[in-house]
Amino acid sequence: MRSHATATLSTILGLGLALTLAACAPTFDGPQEVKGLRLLAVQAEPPELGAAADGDGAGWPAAASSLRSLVGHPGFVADGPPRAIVLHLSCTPAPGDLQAPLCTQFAQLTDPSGLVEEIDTAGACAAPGRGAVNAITFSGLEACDRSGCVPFSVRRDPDDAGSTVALPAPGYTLPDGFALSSLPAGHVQRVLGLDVVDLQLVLEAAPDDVAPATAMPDACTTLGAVLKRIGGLWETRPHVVGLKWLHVRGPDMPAESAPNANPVVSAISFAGAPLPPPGPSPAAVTPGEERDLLPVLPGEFAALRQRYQRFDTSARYVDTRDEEWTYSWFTTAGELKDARTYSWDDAAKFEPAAGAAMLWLVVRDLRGGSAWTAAAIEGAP
Amino acid sequence: MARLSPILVALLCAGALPARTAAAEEPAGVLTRAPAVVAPAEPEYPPEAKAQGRTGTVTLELEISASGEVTDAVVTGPAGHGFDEAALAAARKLRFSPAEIDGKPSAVRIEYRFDFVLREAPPPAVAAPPPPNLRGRVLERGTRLPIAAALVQAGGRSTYTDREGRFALTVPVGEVKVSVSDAAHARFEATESVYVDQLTEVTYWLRRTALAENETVVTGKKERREVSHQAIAAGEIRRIAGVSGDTVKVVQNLPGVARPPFGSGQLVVRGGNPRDTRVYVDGVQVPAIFHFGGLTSIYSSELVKEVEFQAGNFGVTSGRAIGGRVNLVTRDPGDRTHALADLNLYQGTALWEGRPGDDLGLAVAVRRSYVDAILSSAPEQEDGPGVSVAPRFYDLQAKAAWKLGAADTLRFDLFGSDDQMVLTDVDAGQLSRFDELKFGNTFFKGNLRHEHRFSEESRLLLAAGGGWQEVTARVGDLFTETDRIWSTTWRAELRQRIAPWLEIVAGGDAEWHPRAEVSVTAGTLNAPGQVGNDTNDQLTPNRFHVTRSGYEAGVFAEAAIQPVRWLRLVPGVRADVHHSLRTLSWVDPRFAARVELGANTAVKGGVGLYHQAPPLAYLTEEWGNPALREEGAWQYSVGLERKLGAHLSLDVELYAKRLFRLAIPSAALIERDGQEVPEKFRSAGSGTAYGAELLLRYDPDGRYFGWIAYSLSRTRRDQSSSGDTLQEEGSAYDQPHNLVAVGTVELPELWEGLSAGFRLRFTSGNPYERYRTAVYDADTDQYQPISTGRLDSRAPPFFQLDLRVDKKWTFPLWSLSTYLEVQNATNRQNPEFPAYNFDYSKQDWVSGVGFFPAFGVRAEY
Repeated sequence: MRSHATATLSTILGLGLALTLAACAPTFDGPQEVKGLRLLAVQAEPPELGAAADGDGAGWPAAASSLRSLVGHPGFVADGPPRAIVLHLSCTPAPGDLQAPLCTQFAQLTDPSGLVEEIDTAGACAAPGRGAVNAITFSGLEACDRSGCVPFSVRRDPDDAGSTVALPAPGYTLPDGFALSSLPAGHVQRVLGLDVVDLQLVLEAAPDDVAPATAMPDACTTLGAVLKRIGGLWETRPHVVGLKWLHVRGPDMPAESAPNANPVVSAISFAGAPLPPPGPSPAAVTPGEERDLLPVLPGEFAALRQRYQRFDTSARYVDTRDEEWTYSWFTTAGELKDARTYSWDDAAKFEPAAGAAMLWLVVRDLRGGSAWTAAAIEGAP
Repeated sequence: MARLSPILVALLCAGALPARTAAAEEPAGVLTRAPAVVAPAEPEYPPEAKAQGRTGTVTLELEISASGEVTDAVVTGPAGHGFDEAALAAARKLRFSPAEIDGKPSAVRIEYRFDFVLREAPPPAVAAPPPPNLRGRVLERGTRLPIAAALVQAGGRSTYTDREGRFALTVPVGEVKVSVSDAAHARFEATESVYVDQLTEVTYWLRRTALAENETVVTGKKERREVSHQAIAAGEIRRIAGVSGDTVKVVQNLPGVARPPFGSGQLVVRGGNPRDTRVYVDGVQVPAIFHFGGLTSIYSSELVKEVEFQAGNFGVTSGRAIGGRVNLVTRDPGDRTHALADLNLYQGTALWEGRPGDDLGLAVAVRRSYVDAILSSAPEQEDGPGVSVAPRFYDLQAKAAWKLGAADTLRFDLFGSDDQMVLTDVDAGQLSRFDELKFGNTFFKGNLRHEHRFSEESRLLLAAGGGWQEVTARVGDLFTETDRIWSTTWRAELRQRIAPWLEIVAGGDAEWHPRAEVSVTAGTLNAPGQVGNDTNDQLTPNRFHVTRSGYEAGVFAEAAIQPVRWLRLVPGVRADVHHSLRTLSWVDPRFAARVELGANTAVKGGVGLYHQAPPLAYLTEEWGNPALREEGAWQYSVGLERKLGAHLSLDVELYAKRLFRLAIPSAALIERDGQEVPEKFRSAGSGTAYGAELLLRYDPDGRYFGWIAYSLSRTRRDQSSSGDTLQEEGSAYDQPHNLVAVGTVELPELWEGLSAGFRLRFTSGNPYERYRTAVYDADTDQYQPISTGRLDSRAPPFFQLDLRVDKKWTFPLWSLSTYLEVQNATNRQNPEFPAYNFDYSKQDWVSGVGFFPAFGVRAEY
C-alpha cells in the first residue's frame, strides 16, 4: 500500500532542490523572443461548441466555430505581403470513442504532410470545416501578415489575373447528427463532453507560393492544388505544427456552468499609455529604457471573467471557480524579461531596442479561450 | 643464563580480521571484545639454539574457540632452529578469555608472536616475591576503552593487561622506563618514579593506529549463506571522499550500482529500475533511504553496524523485489558512554549512548538539516518563489538492547524521518504559476526483536514492529497527494544446524497495513504515442481515494549443505502473497553454490526466480490497470574470489537477468466490467540485463585502504513507450561502464591524525531520447515534444574526482576531527540532463555541481 508516487516526487523535488542549489542550466532564447516563424495563438469563436441535438436555447453554444490564428515573424516589423499560410485540419472523435484521433498521434504529427493527402477534397469543397467522425477534415486556410491572419484568394489560372478563387475561411462545424445525448445515461461524456482537435500546419510561404502552378478548372480543384503545394513545400520551408482543442459541451453539464467565452483584451499599455495597433505609423519609444507592459482590458477583470464548475474524470463535481487569465508576451526586438504574467495588473518588464519591433499580447482563460492584441513600435532616441 | 621472553603481539585490533578470516565458518560481524590471555604458556628454549646463542621470533596464527581454547595453531612466520616447534607446543597450552563478535562469544583467529631472547639469569630467589609497586591501567585515547592484552614492560619485568586494561608489576625502586605495546596502538613509553614501600599508580592512554572496533562494515553481496561476500570497514568509509561520511552512500560506489542521476538518490542496481531494489533497516522496509533526493541517508551512520548490499541473487530470506537488496544492520548501543556532535555544511548530528545497567545499552541520535536556515537568511530573489517552509529534514533514532541472559537478547528500535518543503507562487514555465509546491514525507518505525539461542546449533529470531507514514505533496492544481499509512511488520526466523554438514533456515515475514488512506488528484496520463490535452489536467482531474487494508507476506526455507569442506550448496524456496488493490501470489525457488579451490580461491554461482508486485498506482483504474500481474526476473550469476595477498583481494562476477511480465504503458482499449476503457498499463514488458563486475580491494592495514570497482552493465527493454509513465522505466538506466576508485592513506609522518583520500568516478552517460520535433499546444502556450519512445542518444560520459583531507586530534577523554572535502576537484561540467529550448529545436545540458568545497567538524567523547 506504499505510495510509489512518493519516490518519484521525492526524486523530482530533490532534484529541483539540488539544481536550484548547485547545478547549472543552459541559457536559451525565451519563448517571448520571436526570431523566426511562430504560431502564437489560435482562437475559436466561440471556444466551446454544442451539438444541436444536445441542447438549444439561449444558453446553449453553437455547433460551429470560426477559427483564427496569430502568427509571429520577425519580418512583420515592416508592412508587407503575407509571409505565412495556415492550413487547418480537424479530427472529430465519435461520441463515447476513447481511441485517440489521428490528429494527436505522434506518428502523424512527425510528418503531418501525410495528413494533407488524406483530405477528402470533394468533401472539403462541398462543406469546408464540416467535421467527420474518425476522419481528417479540412477546416480552412489563412494567410498571415503583420495585421493578422485572414482568408485569402489565389488565382485558379496563374496567367489569368481575374481568375481568383477565395479559399475556404477557417472554421469548424460539428458533423450532422452528432449528439452526445445518444450516449447511455451516466456516461462521463454526457457531462464532460469531448474535444475536437484542430490542427494547424503553419508554413512560411506567401499565397502565391501555394497557388496552382497550372490552370485549374474550378475552385474545388484549385483547393486541391493548393493543398498539394502546401504538402510539397512542407519539408523545404520553415514550418510549425500547432493544435487546439475545441471543446464540445456535454448535454448534462449544469447550466450554472455557462459555456466558455473567449477573454477580451483591448490593447497593450506601454509605460502607462495604450499602444495603437500595427499601422503605418508605429509608436515611438525610447530604446534602452525599461518600461512596464500591461494588458488593457475593456472593463473590470472581475466582471469580464467567467465562473465555471469543475468535474473529475468520473464526472463528479469538484468545485466552482472563477477564471484566472494568463498573459503571454512576445516581441521581435528588445528585451522582454517576462514571457508571461499572471494577473491583469502584473507588469511585464520591457526594454525596447533601437528600430522597429512588433509586440503581441495573448490572453488565455486556461479553458481554451484566447484573445490577443498587437502593436508596432519604433525605438528611436 | 638464558631467559625466555614470550611476547604476545596481536589480538588484532579490529573487527575486520576475525570477520574476514572466519568468514567461511561464521557470519561476518564486529569484534566487540578481544580475547585476552588468561593462562600464559612459556615455550621451552631449544637447547641447541641456546647453546649457540641464537634468538628468534616466531609468528603464529591461532584459532581460538568460543570458549577460549586454542584449537589450531599454524606457524606463519618461522624462525627455524627449533623455535617453531617450541612456539607451537607452547601456543597449544595458551588459554584466552572468549572473544565476542556482536556481543556473543565467538571463535576467532588471531596473530600471536613468541620472541626468543637470551637474557641474564635472574638472581636466585631468596624470599617471597614482593608486592607490586607499579600498578596501572591502559586505555585508548579518545574512546576511553580499556586495552586488553597489551604488553607492559618496566624495569626488566613484563606483563599483559587484563580485560579491563589493568596491570601490576614489581619493579626496581627509582626511575623506571615503562613501555606499553599493542598491535592496534602506537607504542607508548614513559618514565615513572617508584619509591620504597610506595605503590605508584598510573594510567596510560594509547593512540589507536589501526582500525577501531565497532565500526560499520559495508558488505557487498553478503549474506551468511550467500555465494559471495565482500566486507569493507566503515571506520575508513567515514573518510572516503565524496560521500560525506554516509555509509549508505558508499553502496553507490560498489560494483553493480550505476551512478544515479545528480540529486536523485536512486539506487540503480544491475540495470534495474530503482523500485526493483528494496531498502530495509534491520529487516524493516523503509519508504525512503535518503532525505531529499539523496542528500544524506535517513539513518545515522554512527549507529549502523553493517550495510548489507546484494546486487542480485540474494537468498530466500528476502523477497518481493526483482533487483537488489540493501539492509542497514544497526549495532547494539552502549558499549561505553559515548557522545558526539557532528556538524557539516548542511546538517548537524548529535548522539548519546550509554549503559545504565550491565545488561542494558541505550542510544539516541538526532539529526537536523539547516539548509532552511541558510536559505532563509539569503536575500529573496525578486522573481523567485516564496519560501513558506524551506527545505529541511530531521531524523531520529533511539535504540535499546537488553541482554536478558546468556541466550536471550531483546532489542527495541525506534526511528523516524521527516522531510518538508513548501514553496509558494512558483513559476515553473507553465501557463499558470503553481500557487504552492509542497512536499512532505514523515515516517516513524518501531521494531522489537527477540533473539534466543537455544544452543550453538539453534537460534530463533522474532520481530514485530509498527509504523506510520504520512506523505503530502502538491504541485499547484496539477498534482496533490495525501497518504496516511499505518503498518505493522512481522518476522520469525529459525536457524537450526541439523548435522555438521547441514543447516536449515526457515521462517516468514509480513507487512500488514491495517489502514491506509491514499488520496491523489492528478492529470490523465497520455497514452503512448499521443499528444495529451494538458488543459484538461486541471479542468478535469483524476481523483483517487481509497481507505483500506493490505498486506504482503512470505514464507521461506533454505538449507546450507556442506557435504565436503570445499563445497557449499544452498537451495531455498520462498512463497509470497501480495494483497492491495489486487491479490497476487508467487513461488520463488533459488539456489547458490560455492566451491573453495584452495585457501585463496573460491568459485561461486547462483540462479533464482524473483517477483514483485507492480506499484500501487499502476494497479488503480485511474492511472493503471487493476488486472496487472506480478513482475518477474530470473537472475543468474557466477563469480570468482581470489585473495592476492595479505590485504589485496579480487572479486569478479558475471550476471544476467531475464525480466518478464513488466508493467508497461499501453495505448490499447480493453473491456472492463462491460465497458470499453483504456488499458493504460499491461503486464507485457520484457527485457534483459547482463554484465560483469570487478572489485579489486585493498583491505585496511592501518595505513592504506581502498578499492577499484568496475561494472560492465547492459540493460535493454524489448518495448519502447513514448507516452507519459508514472515512473521512468527500462533502458534509461543502461550505463555500460562504471569505474570507481577509492582510496585513503594515513599520513602520521606529516601530522599525527592526518589522512587523505580520493574518489574517482568515470561512467558512461545514460541513454535518452533526443527530441527533434514538437507540436505547439495553442491552449497551453507550450510545445509538447513528439516522442518516439526510443532512447536513440546517450549522454556524454561522467568524470569526477573528489578529494578529502581529515585531521583528528585525540585527547585522553575525547577527540576532535575535522575534514575538508573538495567535490569535483577538476571543476568538470558533467552533463546530467538534456535541456531544450521552448520549442525543442535546440538542446543543451544541465550540468551537475562544479568545484564544491565542503567541511565538517566532529567532537566525540
